[in-house]
Amino acid sequence: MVCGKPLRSTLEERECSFCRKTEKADYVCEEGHYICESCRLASPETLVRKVCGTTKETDPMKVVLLLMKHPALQMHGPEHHYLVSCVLLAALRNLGRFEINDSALDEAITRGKRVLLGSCGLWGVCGTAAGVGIALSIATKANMLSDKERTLSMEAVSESLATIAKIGGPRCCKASTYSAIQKATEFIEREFEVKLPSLTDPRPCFFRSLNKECLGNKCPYFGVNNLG
Amino acid sequence: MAETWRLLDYSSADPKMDLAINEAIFRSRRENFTPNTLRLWQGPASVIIRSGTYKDDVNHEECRKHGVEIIRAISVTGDPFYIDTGSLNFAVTANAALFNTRTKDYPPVLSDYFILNAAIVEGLRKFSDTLEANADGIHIGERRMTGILPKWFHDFLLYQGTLLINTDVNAYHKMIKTGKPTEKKLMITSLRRQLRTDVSIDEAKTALIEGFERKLGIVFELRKELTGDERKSADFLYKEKYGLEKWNMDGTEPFFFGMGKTSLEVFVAYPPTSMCRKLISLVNDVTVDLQDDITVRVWMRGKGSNQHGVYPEMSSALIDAEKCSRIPAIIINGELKFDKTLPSRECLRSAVVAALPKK
Repeated sequence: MVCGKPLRSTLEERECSFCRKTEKADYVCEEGHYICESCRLASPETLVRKVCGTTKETDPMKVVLLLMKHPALQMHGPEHHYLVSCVLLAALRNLGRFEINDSALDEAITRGKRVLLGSCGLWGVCGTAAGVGIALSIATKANMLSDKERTLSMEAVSESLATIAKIGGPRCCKASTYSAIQKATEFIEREFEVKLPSLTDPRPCFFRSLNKECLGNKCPYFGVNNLG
Repeated sequence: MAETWRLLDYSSADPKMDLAINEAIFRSRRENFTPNTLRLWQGPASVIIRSGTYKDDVNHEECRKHGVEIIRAISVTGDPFYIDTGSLNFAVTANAALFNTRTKDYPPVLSDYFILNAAIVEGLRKFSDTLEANADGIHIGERRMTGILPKWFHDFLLYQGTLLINTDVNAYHKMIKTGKPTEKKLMITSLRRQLRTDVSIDEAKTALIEGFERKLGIVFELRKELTGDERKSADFLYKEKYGLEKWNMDGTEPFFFGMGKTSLEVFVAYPPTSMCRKLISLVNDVTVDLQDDITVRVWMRGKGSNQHGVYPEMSSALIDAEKCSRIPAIIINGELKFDKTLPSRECLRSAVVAALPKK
């Protein structure tokens, strides 16, 4: 379910690895992971909203790695666009640096869903990079009339996009997500002086054997030594 | 040793049945019941064969006026084409993985189509050395003399098409909109028009067979009849698909398992939630007396496409249900019937019974 270890049936009470709700469990894995019935049936949107709304985590990579293991999130898909925004907003909220309430996540999902599937190839704008811009715009309350906030959102998108473009293709929504989050955290630290206590290294990519079009050694996240 | 293919020279009295036969042969090949096959057939009447999208390409008024029926083959792409008694129709059914060693001399994109067209040209060149093959079909100069509708199932290819041997090209142009004369893809010719004389269909058949044998390095074993399973499957497909107005005009593609069996796909969470477990048990209960008529497959979300074999059969409705998180879901013959709820026993039973083949 979360780690891929075999399941066993149980009647114990367990906390859901996704939404943290405690309930009487039916199946747990050898590592003790449990997913509640509601999370097992959730759509990507509901799941991302629920997990990002309840997490106390300040490491966005840790949250994204958990969410991406849920089968509602396809190997590639437009849900990665708002996923990036939501995990970044959740981490910033938990760090207490920005004023981010629950409606910020709803807004991020609404905006992220407007970014088309395949926008990387069709528009030249990867949705995960746009997701970084959406998160920063919401955090700084930027809009088209803003000055510095608008500039910062666009610069964050631009830097994320440049890094994602260097990975090459065919597209990988997982690699783009890792890259967008890494770049966003660097940017936030530099421009807002907000340092995340830790950022999980996504290498080696958990999803590499599941991606038919995996770039292999060409991808910076394929193996532990790929970032150099 | 040269690989042996089956050569099936068999035509039915109804072009819709001919298309049902092609699909039955395709299913039989997928199930490994039969070898790669080249089927040659001739239609008893003029018809238009189309893929899923066609409306703008056909002159419906002319078709109505001349009583030319529009029938639909399984194919996701391809322009519609007109056939009459002067057309030689073919269906190649093969595991295309076998072409891998042979396609190295051909451009990579659509090289499987290219090599099959080259095999046809190899044979028909005995009539005219101006024939050329590419991935789109067979050409004489800037005119096309084939219509082709390919269909894939994993590694398996069904390559259905027609060769315009003595076909009435004027009628073709009347029935199928030809657009502007500069649009090369729509300019059509026949071998007869090119040679200015009739070509015997039997001679064309022989040439085609020789071309395949030479180009693909295979030998044919001639059969005059379908296998029993293929016949049964073709009858089922005719009754439930090709013979129906719903399929031929606007319907979505019904989905059947194996050689053509009513399919029930249950899409549940992994591990199944209490609702999913109740649904599986309800399905088992409702179908217990229908085991011979229906195949039930339970698919678990996130467990991958290999849950039921190397060449999994999944309906597009199941793929949509997974993408759109319609879970749990029940899909019967490729149609989403229930999602996110537990249907009543009566509702499910009546949906299942309605989907069974009519006796």
